[in-house]
Parts: sequence; structure tokens; C-alpha cells
Amino acid sequence: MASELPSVHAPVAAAPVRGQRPASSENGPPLAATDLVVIENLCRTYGAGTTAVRALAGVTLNIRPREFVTILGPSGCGKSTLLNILAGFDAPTSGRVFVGGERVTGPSPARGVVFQDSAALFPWLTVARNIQFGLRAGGRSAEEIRERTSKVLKLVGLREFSDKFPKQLSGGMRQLVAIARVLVMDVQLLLLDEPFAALDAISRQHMQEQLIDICSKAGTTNLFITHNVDEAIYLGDRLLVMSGRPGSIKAEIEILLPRPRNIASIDFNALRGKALSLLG
Amino acid sequence: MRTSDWMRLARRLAVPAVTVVLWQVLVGVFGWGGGFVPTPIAVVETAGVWIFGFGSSDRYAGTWLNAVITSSQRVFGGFLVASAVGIVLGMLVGRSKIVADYLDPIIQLLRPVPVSAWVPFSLVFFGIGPASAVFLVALGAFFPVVMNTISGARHVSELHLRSARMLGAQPWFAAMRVFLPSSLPSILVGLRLGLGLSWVLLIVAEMVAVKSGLGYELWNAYYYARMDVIVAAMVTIGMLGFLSDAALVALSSRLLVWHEATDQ
Repeated sequence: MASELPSVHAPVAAAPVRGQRPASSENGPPLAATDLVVIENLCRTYGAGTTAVRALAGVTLNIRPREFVTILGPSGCGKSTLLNILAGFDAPTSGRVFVGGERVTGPSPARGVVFQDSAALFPWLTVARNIQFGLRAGGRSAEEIRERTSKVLKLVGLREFSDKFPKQLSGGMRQLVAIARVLVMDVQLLLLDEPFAALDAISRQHMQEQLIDICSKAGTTNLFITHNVDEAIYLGDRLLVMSGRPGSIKAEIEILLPRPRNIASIDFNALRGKALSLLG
Repeated sequence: MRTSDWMRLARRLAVPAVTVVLWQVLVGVFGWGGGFVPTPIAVVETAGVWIFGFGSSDRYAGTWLNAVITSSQRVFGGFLVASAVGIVLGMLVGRSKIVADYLDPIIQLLRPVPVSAWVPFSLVFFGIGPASAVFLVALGAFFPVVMNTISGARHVSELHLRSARMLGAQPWFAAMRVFLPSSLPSILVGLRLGLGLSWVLLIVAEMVAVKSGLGYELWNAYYYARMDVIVAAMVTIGMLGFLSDAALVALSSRLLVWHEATDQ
């Protein structure tokens, strides 16, 4: 179903763990113009003095357009901090973050976040109205709103649920609405913060398949955070393993398995073993 | 209706029915109350004359509707003022630390003062007349509305704030489309409490500060020892309070479909 997901990488056996790529000059804009996301030596410290907590210490990361990057790490390793900084909800203590060549200074509809908790949808709005929230906030025309809504409803397969309230949907469908409300905007980067963590194993598997399909059709660049090893390998073109205290990227694995992926295959299992050993 | 529904209705009517019968027997047969307590039958007769007149020469004949309309207008006038001011100030105090610093202390200081204590100043400022009643009703209903709106506005989910910012909502858009609906369940609780208080304060105000309306008729009837009129007025006020509350509850459940919506 998602076999056509375009992979920007050359399908050669890249070294699974790579060093940092030189990304930019000291003060100017990032040099690697082909990368959508450029994160340079990102640090985030909470508090000060002896009680200071280093949530992120020197994270450097580039993401190519249409790439699907998954970040795997234990709770408290700083992966959510990284996502919040990319989203513009939090600011780095030091280091720089560029998305689409522009420095991130605050939240923007160009960087859509899908939160872990589907309560992030507005419960007083129907599915269609939730999806239209950003368009209405941006003062788009009625015609554009109608067209975009119907297109995205079709993409996520929720056309017959457009008049329902979030409470009337299953957890998986609510997360599809959460995806739709950011896809309906001109979103460059999709930031997914453990969006399926609250789902049961079966709907989770189903949602992962749908997500791959939706993202490939929408042509988004994706950063997906999870603490589920299978999910990280199933979804990602590239998997980053993070370790905590202080939070940093410990290893990087290119996942060259063909899609759709079989989580019971030998190759998948080899990657699973590798990821688990890296998580330690 | 099924049998169980009839049984339920019977259970619900039992205590009121027994009370009325007991009242009729105690007063009518045993003369309880020393002649000052009217029987329920006498109250119904008085109410009939008060409402419809029936060509009676009673000084209350046919004046009921006028009193009801006058009092209702004052309640809704005062309640609307209280709601508008309470919701706007409540949203500002709940969402802005600076506004809260300015306004929270004065609200907290004035809130414990019973509104009936404002009657003298109400007379000084507004004189004997409807404006006094509207002022007292508005002041009384204001506090539950503003307190509940503040609470609702303060508890807007962080996830909803982030969602709104991420989707590009400017402050005014966020205020009208996120803060207000998110606070609505709490605001409606405040409105309901405020509306209940409005009727209490209206009667207090009309007893002392106005020369018309149900509260005035009720207090005036005392001077004529017309206890039957007083009971009829009490029942009328109770009914109006009940009906206005029911209307507000109906409005609430319409506005809060999303709040109670389940699998349907």
C-alpha cells in the first residue's frame, strides 16, 4: 500500500551509524540547501546552577525533504524537548534550528504537530470544523476552505465522519483528524509526538500503515517520535536512537527495507535486535 | 407510558400531595396558624382572582400578570448586565496575569459582602425605583458569573493553546474560538447560579426599594394581613425561578452537545 513512498536516498548500503554532516557556516544560513530541517548543536537546559537539567546536549540533525525520520528513545531522553523546539513551543538554550531555510522562532502552520493526546482536538468542533480551524484562523475564502477540507477528508478516509464530534470517534480516528487538521495547511514538516501511544496494538498497526500511505500521498517530511522499537523501524527511512541525561543522538540507522515492511521478517528482526542493543 | 413510568410519577408526586392535603386538614379542620395561615384551597381561589380578576373588587384582582412582567424584566435586565460584564471580565482576569493583578483583589474583597448590604447605597445612587432593583440583581448575579468564568478561562487546556498557536490563530481568534468555547461549561454553571440568585435579590430589592413587582406585592400584602396573597406570590416566584432555570438548562444542553456527546 505504501510501496511507492519515495526514498530520496540512494539505495546503497550506507554506513548505519554516520557522523555529523557539516551543515552550515558559522553565522550565515545553512549551506546544505537540500535539507529541509537543519539542527545545529542544539542544547536545552532547564533550570540553573546545581539543579540544572540538561534535556538536550549538542544535537545535530539534518532531515531531507520527504524523508521519514523516526526518533527512538526511553522516556525522559529529551525527544519531546527536541520536537517542541522544532515546533516552536520551546526555545533552545544554544544552537540553531532551521526549517525550510528559515530560523524557527515560534509555532507556525508550516510545522504541523500531532500530539500524543488526541484531546488536543477541539472537542466543541465537529471533525470538519476541527480540520478547518487553521484555514479559518488564516482567513481563507469559503471556497478554498470547502475544497481543502473535502480533499483532506478523502485523504484520511473520514468523509462520512465530518459532522461527528471528536468524542464520537475512536482513538485512531481522532488521531487521523489531528493529522488532517495540519495536512490541510501548507505544512512542510509533520511533527508526530508518539501519536499512537494510547492505541491498542491492532489499531496501532493499522494506523501506522495509514500514516505511511497518507504521508506519501501528501508529500510531507516527517519526524516521528516513539519509544516503540517496532514502530520506529516500521515507519522510518532513517532511525535515530536517543539516550538521555543529557539527551543526545546516540546512533543513526538507515532503514533500507522495502515497503510495505513485514515486522516478522528476518531483516526486520535484525534491525530490531540492533535498535534494542543500542537502547541498552 | 409504561407501568414503571406511572409508578415513578406516583412516587414523585406522593410527598407534595401529602403535604398539601396535610396542610389543608391542619389549617381547615384544626385551625393551625391562628387564622394567619391560608388553606391551599383559599390560596388557589386568591390566585385565580389575582390572575384573572373575575370581576372581583379585591384590590389585587387582575394585577398578577403586570407584576410578573415587571419583575421578570428586572431579573432579565440585571442578569444580562451581570452576564455580559461577568463573562468579559472573567475571560480577561482568567487569561491575563496583569488584568488579574489589577482586578482579582477588588473582586475577592467585594465578593463576601452580601448584596443585600448594598441596599442603602443602591437607594442613594438609584433612588426608589426599578433601577435599584436592576442594580442589585446585576451585582448579585455578577459574582458567580465572573468567578466561574475566571475558573473556566484558567483551565483552558495547554494542548488546545498549543494547537491554536500551531495552526496560526491570532489572539482575538483564539479568544473567541478557543478560550470562550473551552470555558463555556464553567460559564454556564456560573450563569445558572447567577440566575438563581437574581430572583432572590429581585425580591429583596422590590421589598425595600421599588413600589411595584412581585416582591413589593408580597411585602405589601403583609401590611394588609393578606397571607393568601403572600403564599400565591411565593408560589409564583418559585415557578418563575423554576421556568427560567429550565430555559437556561435547555440552552446549556444545546450549546454543550459536544460536551455530553457519546457514541451516537
